[in-house]
Amino acid sequence: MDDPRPRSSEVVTPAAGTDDATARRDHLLVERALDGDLGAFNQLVEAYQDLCHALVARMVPDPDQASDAVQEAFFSAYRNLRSYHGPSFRGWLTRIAINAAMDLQRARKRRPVSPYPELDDESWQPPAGSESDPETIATTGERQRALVAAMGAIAPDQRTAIVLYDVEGYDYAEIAGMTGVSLGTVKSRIHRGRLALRGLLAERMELFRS
Amino acid sequence: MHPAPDHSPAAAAVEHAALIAALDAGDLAGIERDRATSLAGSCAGCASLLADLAVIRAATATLTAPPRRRDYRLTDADAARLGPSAWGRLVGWLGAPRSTVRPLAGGLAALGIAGLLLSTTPGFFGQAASTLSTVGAPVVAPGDAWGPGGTAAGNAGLNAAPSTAAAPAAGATGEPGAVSAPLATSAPGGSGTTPGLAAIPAPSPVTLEPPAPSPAAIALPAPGGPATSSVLTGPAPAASAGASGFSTGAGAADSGVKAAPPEVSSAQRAAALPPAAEPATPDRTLPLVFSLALLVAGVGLFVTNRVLRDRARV
Repeated sequence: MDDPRPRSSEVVTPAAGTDDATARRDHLLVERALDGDLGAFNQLVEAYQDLCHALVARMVPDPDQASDAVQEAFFSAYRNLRSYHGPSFRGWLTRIAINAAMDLQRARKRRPVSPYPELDDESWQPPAGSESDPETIATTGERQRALVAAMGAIAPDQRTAIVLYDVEGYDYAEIAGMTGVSLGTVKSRIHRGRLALRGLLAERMELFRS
Repeated sequence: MHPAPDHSPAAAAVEHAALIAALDAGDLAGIERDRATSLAGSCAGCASLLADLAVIRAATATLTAPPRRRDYRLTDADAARLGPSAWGRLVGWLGAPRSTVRPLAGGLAALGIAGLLLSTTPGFFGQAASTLSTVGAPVVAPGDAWGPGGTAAGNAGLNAAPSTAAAPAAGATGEPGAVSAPLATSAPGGSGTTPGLAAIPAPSPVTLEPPAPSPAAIALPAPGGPATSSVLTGPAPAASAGASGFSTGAGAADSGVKAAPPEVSSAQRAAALPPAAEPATPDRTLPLVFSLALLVAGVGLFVTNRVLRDRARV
């Protein structure tokens, strides 16, 4: 069966030349930040805050908590900048953000909140695709809301695995390394998470089939 | 004892669902894959599940995230709060891969090793000590010059180098008979009335100039008391200069004669003088401890850097 999900090389890795230039820029900025240049570190923040926010916001349903997790990730990165030894600042920062999100979700188990309050906020609309007719936009929005709500309802570890695998494009081994579990556990979490999503979306599957 | 396998319809449905989910993810191979494929072909519910899972998988791949509402850049206050403490900075410096820790550690260890080698080398510090005692010999020479053997030394001082520190003191006893006799008659206020002194030519301006006080001239005439201004007054310098043909140095020697009368025994003079410097036995404890401390500091820095770097890699 074909795997339609975008692989990590397609999603997160730009062209090799651009990647090298980005890595060099990041390295220089890290060096300057280590010398006490806060502006250099903030340039790194500007470069990666959208990426980190998108990743963490998919893992943590509550937007305020997601923002807190991203902020904590950047704080942690600043605190531990000396422990960064390359090669990819992006990968290093992504791992910090994932850990921050997982820590937050573990803490959230003790204090659950209502997930995705922006689902009730009609002012927020998911980005429209190339089709711009109102019906398609409405269907896409409805599908996204249903999926986001279902994602917020499944177990955090399953959600994390699905986001890292399906959305971010990491492979099983990378996810196992990031989350500190075995390869079989990662597979099991992804399988169970998809089954849980199907159970939650069973009544609205026509939105996805259309 | 293993529990009996659950053959209930619910348990079978769960097992089938897991099998279909694994098939959808492409995680099955061999017999398991054939079994799941046949299950999807023979069971309508399994086929529907497989189709739904494919749709959901495609949808999650395009899952959008809510827009970012916060600027995560750090403020100066954040940086100040998050900045490492003094201890953290020290640990960071010690563990930094390109810091100056390793060169510093190498330098300290090298200095320590060199210090240990030098301090344990026989004769290194002993040689230095004997050299020092030789240099200090003129300071203590007058002690010997008062004795019977000092006459020869005094003569040598007079003949060789009147300007040296040893010369004035040596001159005090170099010619006991010739120098002290005129002094005995002229020093108490005499004006050169003795026949011996009358025959002495008038002192030249050179001989009347006061000698530049040297530390040796001040320190040496200890036995008879401090050096007095008699060096510059009275006919003694003239007589001394006239008798010996020497200039100011001889005058200083005369003062020594007055300060230390010849009737004082040599043993008393020797006892009053500071003890002569002996070849010092070098104390090697301090350099040994210092070198050892340098070596330990260097090795400690190196090991700390290594440990912290390994920990950072982990």
